[in-house]
Amino acid sequence: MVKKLICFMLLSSTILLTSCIKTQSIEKIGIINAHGVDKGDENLLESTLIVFQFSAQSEEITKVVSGKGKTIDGALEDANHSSLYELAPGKIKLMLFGRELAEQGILPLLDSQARDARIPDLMYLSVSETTAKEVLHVDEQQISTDIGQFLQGLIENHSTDHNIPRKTLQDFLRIYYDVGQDNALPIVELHDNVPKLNGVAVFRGDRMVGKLTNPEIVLLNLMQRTVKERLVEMSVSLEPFRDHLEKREDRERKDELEIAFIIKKGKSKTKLIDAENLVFQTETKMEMRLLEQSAGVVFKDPKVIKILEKEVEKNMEARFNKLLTKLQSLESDPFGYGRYYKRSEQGKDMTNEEWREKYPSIEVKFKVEAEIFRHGVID
Amino acid sequence: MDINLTVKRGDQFQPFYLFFIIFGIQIGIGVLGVPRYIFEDAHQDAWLSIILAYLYMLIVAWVMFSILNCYENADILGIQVDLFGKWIGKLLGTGYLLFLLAELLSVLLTYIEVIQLFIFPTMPSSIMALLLLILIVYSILGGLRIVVGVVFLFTLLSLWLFLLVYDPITRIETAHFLPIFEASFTDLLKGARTTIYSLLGLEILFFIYPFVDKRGTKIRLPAFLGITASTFTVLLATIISIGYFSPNDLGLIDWPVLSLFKSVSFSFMERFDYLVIMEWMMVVIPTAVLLMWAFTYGAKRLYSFPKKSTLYVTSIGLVITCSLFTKNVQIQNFANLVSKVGFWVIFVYPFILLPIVLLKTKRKTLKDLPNSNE
Repeated sequence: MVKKLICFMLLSSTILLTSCIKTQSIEKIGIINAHGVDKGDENLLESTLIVFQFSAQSEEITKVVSGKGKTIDGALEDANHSSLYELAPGKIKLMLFGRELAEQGILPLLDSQARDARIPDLMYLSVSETTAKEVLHVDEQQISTDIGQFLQGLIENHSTDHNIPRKTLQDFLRIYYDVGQDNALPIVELHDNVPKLNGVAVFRGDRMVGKLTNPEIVLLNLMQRTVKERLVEMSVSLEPFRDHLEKREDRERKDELEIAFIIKKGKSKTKLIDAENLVFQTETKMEMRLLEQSAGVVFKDPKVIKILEKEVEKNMEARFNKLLTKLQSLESDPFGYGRYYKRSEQGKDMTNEEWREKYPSIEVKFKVEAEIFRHGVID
Repeated sequence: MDINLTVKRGDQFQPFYLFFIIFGIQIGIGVLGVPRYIFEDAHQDAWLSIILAYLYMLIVAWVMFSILNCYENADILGIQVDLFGKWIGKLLGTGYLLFLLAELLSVLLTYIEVIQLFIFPTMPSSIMALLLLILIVYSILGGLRIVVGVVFLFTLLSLWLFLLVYDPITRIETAHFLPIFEASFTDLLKGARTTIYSLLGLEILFFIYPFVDKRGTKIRLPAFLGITASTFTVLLATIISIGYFSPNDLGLIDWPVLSLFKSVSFSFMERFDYLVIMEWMMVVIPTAVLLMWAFTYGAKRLYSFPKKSTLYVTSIGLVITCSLFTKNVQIQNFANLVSKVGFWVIFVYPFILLPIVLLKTKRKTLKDLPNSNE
């Protein structure tokens, strides 16, 4: 009898105790999918949220909600007032910062996100060229899906192709706290009312300081990982190829040869060669396929290929140098040269401030080794 | 009180289970947070500290076995009475039991705090303590064999969690480990001590030893392997945490190992960390069950308290105490205190005990010699 009673009590407690937890049925919560943050008036933050709501009454699943507050959680709370249901942040996939806010620094915002155990570490971060509000308020007719998923998909697809760096909250924080490397986040901009990934925002600490264009991103990617199947355009001087041109009638001869390559595989190796004078060496190896050329150069002779390889190497090296100068003037180190210095005996106790002082004076010897494998089906 | 115990054949278990007992009691809630603390002491050489701690733990376990082997079939409570007399022995035994209770409380409090932090912020601690204790009481009512069974099964069932760390492993930044051998020897020792703080639990050997079936030859090996397994777990967690988090960041993260699981995501399960926290109950329960068993069993040995009443009274007491701790800081301070006391009780005390035991047995054999000549 006693046993039965105990059994009954235990069983009933399993039912009764469930009410100790707050009920959250899926029809009654709004699941935040994307979160845009802008600088609003009077030093307030303005949040724009893309929210999923699975209620039987409405046809539309997604809804845009916005709110203002001094802190990011305050803005969320404010947004909650204008939403019929409670907003749940557990599935935020994308966080988009307005450019103005990104230039002021985003760490205070990220800190609150990292502190909150409910917020996923795997959400992507990105910067809007204008304001996050504008991008998230895009007409959904144009993109035939909701904007949150659209942007997430955009970032996901492009980063699997290694076109743009994909940065999650955790990646950003790791690089931010690591000494000797800076972050780069993808930029979203509206193009004919359709969001488009356009370039990369480079950061100094948590502040956006500049923008890299799409051709420059290839260089950044070549530095950081193995790049595969990526198109590069460049123009080289036509002079060395004068003797190998196809005989075409009435063609206006230009001085520049426009060529397009696919980088079949490219990667770089960096090492510190002189710790005293901060000299680094970066060797980049690229296997490429020629896709297009503007002038009708005939590639029958292996010598011509050799000349072309030389020209490409020169061109790439110049581009690397230009990019480095640009980044040095921005005082941002997305390449992460500081990491290589930090590994050395002199640099092991280096702090981020010290690296900021040293970085503008570093010298990098870029060495590019290009190898052209195929040039299409025509010689 | 008898110094040696006679245990019925039916109450004994195979030495092989010692592996799971040691692993189960050592790996508890502490593992979730320990990489941060070891890292604070020994920085990128934390792994060296863990290896030092491992060697030290092996020595401690060896010392424990040496003490126990001097007796026929005794436990720590009996040994203390034998060495120091009835009064002091019992006093020391009571102290030992109170320490076990404090350890149990600290485990429960910390686990409840994690649940509140990550999943149910509004759920009262007393309710969660009650739920956990119902499970604990239920398994202890079944006797030692059930306790060992629970430890065995739950440990096996939670092993799959290891598979999930593949994702953070792919994101490791190797530069975080460079340069190696930077930490000074004192830093390494500090790190080793911190490692040991999170791997309390070896004291269970002192209680459970009489129940091991000693007809087989290898009793020590499973225990040593258990220590190896739990050290390996801590080592893995620490290495991944150091690689995954930036050095300046790791010092700020409360539960680095849980945060590792935050980056695991599958299409059918978006947030794996929630599942991991719930699954972690299977890691916490073995620790709690073993401690509770040792406590009730010890109370019966010392004062002949009936096991069931001790069990019920302590459980109710624990539920009430759990609801008294409300602040994060209180819980952390309490857990730190328990770890510090535990270090002395578990990892230093046996070294004091061993010479006394050896002396005593030597004297005894000398005394016994003339008798045997007669």
